[in-house]
Amino acid sequence: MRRYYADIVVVGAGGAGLIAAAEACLHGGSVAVVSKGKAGRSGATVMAPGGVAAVHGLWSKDGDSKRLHEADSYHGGGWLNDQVLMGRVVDEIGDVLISLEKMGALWQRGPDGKTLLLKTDAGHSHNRSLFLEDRIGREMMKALCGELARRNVPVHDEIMLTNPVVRDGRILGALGFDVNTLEGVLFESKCLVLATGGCGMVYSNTTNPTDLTGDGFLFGLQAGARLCDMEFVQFYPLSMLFPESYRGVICATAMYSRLFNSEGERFMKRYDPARMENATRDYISRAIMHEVTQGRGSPRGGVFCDCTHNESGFFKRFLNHDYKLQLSAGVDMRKDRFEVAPSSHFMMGGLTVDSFWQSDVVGLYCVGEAAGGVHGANRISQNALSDILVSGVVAARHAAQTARKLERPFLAPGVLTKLTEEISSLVRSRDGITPSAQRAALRAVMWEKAGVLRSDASLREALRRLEELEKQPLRLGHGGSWVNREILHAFENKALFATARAIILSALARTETRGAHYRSDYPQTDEKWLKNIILTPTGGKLLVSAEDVRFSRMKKGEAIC
Amino acid sequence: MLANVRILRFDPSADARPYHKEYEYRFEDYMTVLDVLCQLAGEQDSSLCFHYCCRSGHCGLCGLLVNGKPYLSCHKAAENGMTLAPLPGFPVKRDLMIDRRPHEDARGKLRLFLERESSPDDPIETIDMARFAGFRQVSRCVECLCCTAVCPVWTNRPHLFVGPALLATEARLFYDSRDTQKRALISKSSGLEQCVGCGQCTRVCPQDADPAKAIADMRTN
Repeated sequence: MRRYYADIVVVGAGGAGLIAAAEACLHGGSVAVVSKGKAGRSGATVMAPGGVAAVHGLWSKDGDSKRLHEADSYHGGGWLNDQVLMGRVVDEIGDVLISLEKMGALWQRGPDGKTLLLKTDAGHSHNRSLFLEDRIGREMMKALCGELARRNVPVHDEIMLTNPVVRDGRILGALGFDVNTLEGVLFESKCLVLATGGCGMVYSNTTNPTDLTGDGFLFGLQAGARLCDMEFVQFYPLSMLFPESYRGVICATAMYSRLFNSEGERFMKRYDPARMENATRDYISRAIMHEVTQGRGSPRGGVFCDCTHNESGFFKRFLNHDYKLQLSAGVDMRKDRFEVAPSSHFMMGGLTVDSFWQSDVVGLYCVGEAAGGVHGANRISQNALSDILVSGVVAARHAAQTARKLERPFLAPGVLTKLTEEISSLVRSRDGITPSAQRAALRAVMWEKAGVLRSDASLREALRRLEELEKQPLRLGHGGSWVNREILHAFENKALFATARAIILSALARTETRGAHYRSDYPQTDEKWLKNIILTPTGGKLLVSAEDVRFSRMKKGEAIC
Repeated sequence: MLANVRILRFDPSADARPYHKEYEYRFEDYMTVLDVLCQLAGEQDSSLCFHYCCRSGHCGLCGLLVNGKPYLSCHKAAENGMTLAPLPGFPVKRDLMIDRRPHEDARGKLRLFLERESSPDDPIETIDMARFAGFRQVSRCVECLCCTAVCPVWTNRPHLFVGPALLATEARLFYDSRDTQKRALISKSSGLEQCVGCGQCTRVCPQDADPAKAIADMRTN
């Protein structure tokens, strides 16, 4: 076994985790990062192409304001956002971006080398997002990895933390294993920051990297923390369906596309005649899945996308990445129609946190996509990076204060025994289904029964099928403990099951349609549902309840200026 | 339709030496090398080890040799009869998965973070846009190590030359007009002058980061 201590342990090495670690260094105390993947190359941040939405006196113009950014976010979020959290994101993101540049990032500038360029995307009333080419996330990660190197922060990558250690409502550390050797690993810490990302892998189609498996949600539940808003999963409408490894990868932009069903009909005219393909992501995703379920889909379970009406030269200027990607799948967007389908993109829900992103457990913080509440029922574009950066900074600052007040915990190495026994029995499992088959089945059930379109019947069916699936024993192919990836996958699957169950239970409870959550048996938005659904772990089960939204900063319909 | 693939396999905890293993797989139009590996691991041989994460060229983890040339497996079309092997020159963890530690360990001495005598008070600094073009280009590097793996100088003199991937990463700071650290000197200590200028690194780069140009620029400045 291996044993480590740091005052603050950050779990996850995407953007939220790295900025939390970088910030924690500034406030005293020791910091360590733990990641199941390769630090700097795992998680969703490194893939982020768009921008970071931020209003700041130094670059905003045209009457833009923080109030407007906030109002846009609440409008997109169906007014379910935790306004204290969203307010902090809007208030602080500008300054965080300035300090990230001082660390070593650079945002796109005009020819004078000084004026920051701004862009926009769906949901924003003004151009307010900083960017660099089409890879802002990669740039952020380079700066953050550099900062951690400067500060000599130990980064323990390829360690999967599976179990929290909690006593008297306080986190004391976490248990896990080295994914290369399967050796047990014990971390003691005063505070632990979960920056484990979302759970795109819970659905067959996802835009996410393959390591977003909801690990933090299971970890938090085991620690006794609650989840909120788990019914709200954002689906990006236009993603690829083949080849298999590209399934779910974003491949087109709706506003430059025309969508057709198998009968050659431009079907958006029946769903949203005014906006057609300019409708919001949730509307288009639903329309596509309605066509598919009514038998008017494409052969692989999507619809047909046509971009040929755009003038020549358009693809190089606006869709260069999409164009090249499609070309590798045999599609020439200049003249071919191609299949598209929605794809799980972002989890709005997550662990319930207070105004400093601390969970119900003292010392356990949850940041970025692992935390719920910030984005309400739907996230508007380019708010994800704003959220991960501000939540990481605020949580780290508060965790440093909390850590100063707490005693250093000590754990007996014996606490690892149960986990290491579970791993050795898994290595020897030879009867049942493989972790990869188990995962594929789970993702298919969730996609078909608890995805874009949901109903009471489909959700109950999903719950039943997942229960059966989880009962089946596992069969591992290769034995041995050296670089046995199947063990990692088996543990990730446990998190996927817990996440799937949380999504279903929350979706069952919300008997209305709002934001990204669509119930075909309750297709209308119902004002009495201005509530957040909360899941509380109680005796191995999840207790479902609802809490009224607190409009602490802005009321629906309030005039913004 | 069925197709064949030959994969160089090696489990250092069980095998004396690497060996080739032949597989048949269901060929589908436009499938990538990564698709082939996922299909084999899912349906035939779950012990097959390979690394990937994002599936679309951002994480830099899925580099390997296809018929002797380096590619990201997520961006390379599969062919019938292809041979797959791990990127050469690195220790093999298992099968197609390399141990990236030698590369990561070498990062420390390169001081890969912005360094300067003093930080100006101006929150938004004016930068040199001519240098910014170079900064943007090398910043595309995802450190997939395809370039380092085929670099003849690194292959023959790994202790004298740190390899193009890390020098491109260093060049990101060399092109940053705010940085006052002596990047050319640091690069020199890491073997900058050993480069023979063959341009192999730039030819195999899947991200168009042009490490050869970055190395040449650091040598002349």
